Amino acid sequence: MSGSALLKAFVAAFLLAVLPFALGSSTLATEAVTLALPVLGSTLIFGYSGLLSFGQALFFGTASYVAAMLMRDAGVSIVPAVLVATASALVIGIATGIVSIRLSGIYFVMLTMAFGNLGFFLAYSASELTGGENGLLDVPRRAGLLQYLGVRLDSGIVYYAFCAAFAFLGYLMMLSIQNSAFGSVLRAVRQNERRAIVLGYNARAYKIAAFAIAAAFAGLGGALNSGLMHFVSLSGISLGMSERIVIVTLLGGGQSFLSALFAASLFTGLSDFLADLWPRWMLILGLVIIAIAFTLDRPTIWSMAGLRRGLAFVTGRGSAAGVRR
Amino acid sequence: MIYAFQIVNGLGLGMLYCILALGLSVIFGLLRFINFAHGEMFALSAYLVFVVQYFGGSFWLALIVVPLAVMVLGWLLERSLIQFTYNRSHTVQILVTFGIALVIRESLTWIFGPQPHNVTAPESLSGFISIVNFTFPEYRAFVIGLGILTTACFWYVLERTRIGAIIRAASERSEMVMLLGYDARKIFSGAFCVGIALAGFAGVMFAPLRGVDPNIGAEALGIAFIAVTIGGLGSYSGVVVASLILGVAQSLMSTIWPEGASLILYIAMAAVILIRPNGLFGKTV
Amino acid sequence: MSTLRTDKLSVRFGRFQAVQNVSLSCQGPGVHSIIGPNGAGKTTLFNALSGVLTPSSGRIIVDERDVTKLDASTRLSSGIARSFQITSLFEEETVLENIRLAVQAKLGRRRQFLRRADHDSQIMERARHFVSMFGLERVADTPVGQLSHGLKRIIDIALCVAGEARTILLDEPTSGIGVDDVPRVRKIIEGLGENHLVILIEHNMSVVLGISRTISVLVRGSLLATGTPRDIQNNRDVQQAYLGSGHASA
Repeated sequence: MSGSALLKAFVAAFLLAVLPFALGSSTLATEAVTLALPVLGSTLIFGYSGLLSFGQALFFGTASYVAAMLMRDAGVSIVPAVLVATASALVIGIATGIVSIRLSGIYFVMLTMAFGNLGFFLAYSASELTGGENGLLDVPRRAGLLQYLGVRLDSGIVYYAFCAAFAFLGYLMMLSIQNSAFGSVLRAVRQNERRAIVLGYNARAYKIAAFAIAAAFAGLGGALNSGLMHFVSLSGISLGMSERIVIVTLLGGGQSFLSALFAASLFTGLSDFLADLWPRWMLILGLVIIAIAFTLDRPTIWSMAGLRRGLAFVTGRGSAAGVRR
Repeated sequence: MIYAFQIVNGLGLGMLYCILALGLSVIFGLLRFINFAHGEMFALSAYLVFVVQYFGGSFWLALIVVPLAVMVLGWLLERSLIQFTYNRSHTVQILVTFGIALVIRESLTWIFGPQPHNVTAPESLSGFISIVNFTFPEYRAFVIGLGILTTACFWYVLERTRIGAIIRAASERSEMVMLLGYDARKIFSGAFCVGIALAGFAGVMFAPLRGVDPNIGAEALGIAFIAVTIGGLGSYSGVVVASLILGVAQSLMSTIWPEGASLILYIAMAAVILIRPNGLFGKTV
Repeated sequence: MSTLRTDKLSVRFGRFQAVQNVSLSCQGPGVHSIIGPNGAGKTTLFNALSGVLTPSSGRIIVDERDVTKLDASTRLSSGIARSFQITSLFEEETVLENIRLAVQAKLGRRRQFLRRADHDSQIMERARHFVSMFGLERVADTPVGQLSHGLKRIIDIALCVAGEARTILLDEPTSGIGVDDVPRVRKIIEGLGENHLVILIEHNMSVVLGISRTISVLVRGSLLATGTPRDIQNNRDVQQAYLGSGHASA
């Protein structure tokens, strides 16, 4: 691992380590982490492929339901349940990706939102499976083999550590994608799709792959989330959840995975704090989104990309934003 | 027959969706972006009808005043924010309108609370019409009638007037607008206002059907998206046909399987794009 | 030896026949130029050859292989690459990265996921090789977007070569670049012609006449004449086509 990557990993690990204390509760910290996972995925597709998905809740919610059903009704322990749930999100991601990613990017946003809504209404109607408006209750955290290692998942802080471990691994995976050949092609496709195709890259396949990865990450977050409150409801698969993921992705700048982690943490803490103060605080968020939107693809010093450029200039390291050495 | 009743209901609903979706299409056709605030404009006008009624005004007053008010708001937004996004990427445009939608939705919830409110149909239309054996609410008939009238006007303006020709040309190639010597800014501004006015109009007519609550905006946006996706981006006639189909499907479903009423719409969309990715009448965008 | 043949190639847009029944036969190594008045269909022909457009009828045969049905991204695997009239590069990436991407597309088939991009020594070595081949060492770490038009054009050509195509299509390589850069680009194309089949669309007649082995003249979508520079210069029909349309550049 290169020097800068090692530093980033260290910062991420540090953030995850102090999060429960910074936010004041392990439940809140776990919530932040299960939000961070879909946001990492969305940062990949948004920052590296220019794909804005308003339907990530489809994957988050589906995996939540699958994990919950496996743990509660089929007695499956948590690690396999989470893996199967994530895999199901991945499969759905590939399928919807194939349909949504076409020649023109305009349909993409509408289609992802529509598929998200499709998932919502499916969950709503299939109430024998999903509990409909009531949701699925009493979802256990089955430690399975882990209990032989002395891991007691019922403790809030232990469950947090469990989820944070997944988040950290996810972050590392994103870092390696960033520096990998795959990542370099994604960046190239975003900058000049036609040229990438003429060079021989199947641009569409790359975008679908990135989308599928984002779906898997969202699914992982959802699966872990089902054990958090021992409860899965329609909110996890709702448009509101998709919107939340978009908002936090934007707050994180959409370019840096580390900022994504920070944004998810900050947002979770802030929304918990502000929700009691003023339930309509999202109004301000709407204004913030508009402001951020205007700074996109034109980094100003106030955006993460701008800050990184400034930092690079000052430290004399690195070149243009988006280039990794 | 209950099905005939639902079909009529559905046509009414479909007409509403049609006007809403045509507004979205106009904005997309000329300005080339998806207006994420469309649903909330719809919701805002429905709420404004409630306000008008709350202060003792009549529905008819609302029918005239509210679309205008919403259109003015749209114009203000276009001049102050949206016009600065024309030369930016799609993403910026979508996100700016998404931000606007958030602000509107939260403001509505803040002012009116998260609970639903009732909006009553005008006295003169709260009865029932009987044709042969069928009885259905007068208001529904009114919605269908007004919807048909509006769509017909829209079609007429589009096909038979010079403004319509400009709109059609600009929908094909927006650069052409400037080349022909028209003030592009005025046309874009106008197009946005027309689109918003249509959304407002649909919202006013919708209010007595179901009352208002903070979710109607998001629902409306979702349905407008489906209509435009099924009908095909760039095709106005496609949008009309798709909207009617959606309205009827949703109404029929609400008697057969109520929980699946909204689901059927999304399944229909998924089915259509699998078979015809550009929609029923769509042109490759 | 690389060959490119077209067999009665036609491209039609609605009722407009952009390319009509063009049967070309080019053999490499060497430079084969395609000239003709504006609007003659040259770029359309290139688009068909590189797979960006599907021809309405006819065939394209590269090295005895019928590639007509292949799409743009697989066309490269058949050994044909093209540069664009408006330079088409990855503006935010460095020169080295641009070339590396071209090399990676060719070599990196099976190792494209989690491997560190700049750790793949074989790819990096090849990339640096091309950087020096085109004299780009000094700008190797500069983002392409900051470079001059002339340099961008050279990088564009370098990408085609780095993709290890045997047949290279260059669409107006000297257009839009400063007059001082033209000799450098010309030299590069000449050098390419020693090992590759280069098919050139060019308006700059001195370049065309100076470096081409054969020249084809396209007028209103049809092939008017093919021959050595000498033949073409003495060809009455060609003179007519050029003088008639008022087009002349030297």
